[in-house]
Amino acid sequence: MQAKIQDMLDAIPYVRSHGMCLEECGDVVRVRMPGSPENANMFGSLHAAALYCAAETAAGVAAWLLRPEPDTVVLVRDVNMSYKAKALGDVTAEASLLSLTGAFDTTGRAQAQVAVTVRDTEGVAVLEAAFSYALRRSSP
Amino acid sequence: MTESERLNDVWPGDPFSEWVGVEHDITNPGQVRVRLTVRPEHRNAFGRVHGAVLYTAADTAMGRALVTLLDTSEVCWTVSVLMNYLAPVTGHTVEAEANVLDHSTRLATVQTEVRDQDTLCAVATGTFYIAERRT
Repeated sequence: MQAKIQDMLDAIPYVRSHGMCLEECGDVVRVRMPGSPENANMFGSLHAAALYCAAETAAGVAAWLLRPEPDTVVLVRDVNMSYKAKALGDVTAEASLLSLTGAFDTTGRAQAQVAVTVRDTEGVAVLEAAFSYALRRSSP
Repeated sequence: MTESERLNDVWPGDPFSEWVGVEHDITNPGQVRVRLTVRPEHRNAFGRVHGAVLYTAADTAMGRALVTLLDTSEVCWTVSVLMNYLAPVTGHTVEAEANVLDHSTRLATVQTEVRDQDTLCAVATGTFYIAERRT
């Protein structure tokens, strides 16, 4: 499953361009993003929007894993980002499900809430985030 | 010196937003509009513009809008952002227009709208911390 999801991530142009690496995809989804120079802000630490991309990648996988089928579409609805510290170097984003509402199996529609913590290489939390997703079964 | 020239002196840019391709468009005190031409690497799995790209445009616009009101000895950074996605971006250009709502303390509140031509695609409210620039 992990290799399959990594292939899916690599097929998303914007995610692939950040070099995201899926490290775990169980109850917790963990994604590593390299701290490459182009991800920096004007202060030399990781840009807030680069950290967002790491968080959203992990959160999106966690939401999709609720119904891991090719016709499951995951759409981000709203996000709440809270930055805790500046980030230097590689970061890892860990996502876990907060709640799931709706009867996806019968209606093809549900809503998921996912929490994410992004940490630097020393384990310091640099970003805490919450994502709301709409899950939809795509039409054949 | 125009407002845009002053802004470029204070905030010459950052590697990430430049890499994404966010370009400065309009600047007034407390108000900035940025523009982004959609490239193939901006797409998500459905061929639409990735939500993180819209977030980058919004965050950059908000930060630059706040900088227009700061003293040259001050800098700012993002503390928190609440963003709502309203519609997908399917076109070739994204614009984010930010307005500073309040900067009376060390914490400033900035709001932005992200548009795909005439369609409002996302709205965001950000809180930014204002600090003295370290020499």
